[in-house]
Amino acid sequence: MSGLFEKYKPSLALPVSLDNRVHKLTLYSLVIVFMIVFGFPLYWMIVSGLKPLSDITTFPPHLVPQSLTLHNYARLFGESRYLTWLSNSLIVSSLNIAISVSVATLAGYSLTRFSIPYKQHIARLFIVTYMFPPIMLGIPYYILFLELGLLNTRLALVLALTAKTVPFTTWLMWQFFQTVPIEWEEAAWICGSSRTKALFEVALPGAIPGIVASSIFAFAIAWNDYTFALLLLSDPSKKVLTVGLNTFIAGDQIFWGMLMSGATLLVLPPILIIFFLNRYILAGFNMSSL
Amino acid sequence: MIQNIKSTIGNLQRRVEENEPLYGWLLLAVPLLIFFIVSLVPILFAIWMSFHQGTSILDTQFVGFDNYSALLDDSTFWLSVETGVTYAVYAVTIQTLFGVGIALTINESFKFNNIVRTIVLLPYLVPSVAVALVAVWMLNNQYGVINYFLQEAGVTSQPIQFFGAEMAMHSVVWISSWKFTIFITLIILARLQSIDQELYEMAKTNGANALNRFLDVTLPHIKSTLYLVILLRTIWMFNKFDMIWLLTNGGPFQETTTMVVYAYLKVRSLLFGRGAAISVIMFMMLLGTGIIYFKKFKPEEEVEVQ
Repeated sequence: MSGLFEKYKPSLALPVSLDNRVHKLTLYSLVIVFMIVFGFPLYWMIVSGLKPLSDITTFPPHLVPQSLTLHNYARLFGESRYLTWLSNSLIVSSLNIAISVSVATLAGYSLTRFSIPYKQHIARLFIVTYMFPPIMLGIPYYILFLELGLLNTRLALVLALTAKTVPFTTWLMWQFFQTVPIEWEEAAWICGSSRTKALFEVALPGAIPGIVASSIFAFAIAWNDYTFALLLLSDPSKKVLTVGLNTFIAGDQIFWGMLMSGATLLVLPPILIIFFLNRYILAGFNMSSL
Repeated sequence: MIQNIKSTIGNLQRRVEENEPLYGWLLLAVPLLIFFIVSLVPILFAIWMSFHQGTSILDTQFVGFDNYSALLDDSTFWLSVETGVTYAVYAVTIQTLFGVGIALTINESFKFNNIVRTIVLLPYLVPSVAVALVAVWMLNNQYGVINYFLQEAGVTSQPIQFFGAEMAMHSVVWISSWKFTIFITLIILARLQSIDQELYEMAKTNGANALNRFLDVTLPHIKSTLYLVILLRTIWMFNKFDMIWLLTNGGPFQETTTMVVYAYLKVRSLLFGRGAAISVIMFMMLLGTGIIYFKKFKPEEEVEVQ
């Protein structure tokens, strides 16, 4: 392997100490740039949501707010349908997690524990669905749900989102069950436990990290979704947070403060999740064998 | 009586469990059924719709290839193909360059590593709607903080119209990339951490500079992963709807009307067949790209299915 590097002439390289200093300097300046690029928009969103009305549309803008207020949050909950949208979002996300994770768990278990023919093909089928443009699913959903009288119901959105989440959660659970040793279950069988009982009492607890990771990904997709919600829910009382929030931007006068406080609350759940469940997310990324 | 039923169920359960393949298939049946209902049926229906006209199932006429031929004669459609491809290629190029760059940077060990990692990795979890709203606010031509910075720095004397005809595409691409670059960073970072550090030391003692080390040690190790994430990101950016729609509604003057946005506009004017036809063409384009890509770069070597 070292032969690969023999083409370099040591004498041509910079002295090590100088090389290191230059290296450190570029590294730190790059890191500062990244922090500003990724951190500042989030700071600006939070701060704008906390500024009083008089302070928000000043130019030049105050980078550090003169005074802070919860006025925007009060208006958000008092004068808009924010609370309805929030609860709709929560309902849709939880149902989506419940369906896609249980489906994925069953599929993942059976794909690892039984010799099912065409396994490879089933795996590929799941991956291929990733290539379908969401709009290609959205159009038939719109027509089918209209026909079934399901348009403008939260159930319609849950079903549509399931199509988006199931391929990935199944993939994840499939990979996860491979790490749960089958010996644990075999031990349970020997002790007289039935196969189903062993599945619930031995295999499932072993796969909990996978179940948590799948739930996080399913939640992120459902919570994020705008496209399907826009297509399928037009009734104001059924709207979810993403679509509802965007209605603030229509009209002549845009209440930027309210919009930013609403956006802050939209960002909060995912951030709390990454903060508290970080290790599961990383586990998920490693598992998806990407 | 109850005892009887219980023992019958117990017998049945035992018999099913003893029949290995049957039990496996039973467990798999529910997931497969749901998959068929929510994925396969709608997709077949979309293909069927692309050969029909009408606004409901009961009231449709078969029109053969009319939807497709109408699109081929539609100059706005061709423009949307161009815009869609431009958006995807432009955005993926930026995301790949910056994604790998950021991964290489935060892979180096330095102080506050964890805080930096968390902040840099946050954007991927920020919902597109929030990204779009904050971007529109920050790039506002009256009160926008970005225009303030640019004017202070003397880059421009007039506020820049970020969502005007000239800048709209660039704005949409860079704002999308703010969020999605991190996907590439996350995956490349995981790969980088599996590279043997000794290789770098060896290269260093042989006098290889940073660029040499990148080309000879890093690149060969991340190459196949990179091919795979580039393919995935290209597919996803080509299919992207929410970000573009939220930022510009496809405007101004169709500057940012990609194929997806055009399909959605058709659906909004109740031309379901036309919209479905666009989505089928999109899928064909992706499939073609995917096949050529797989033949050329073999990214599947990275994915193991056991």
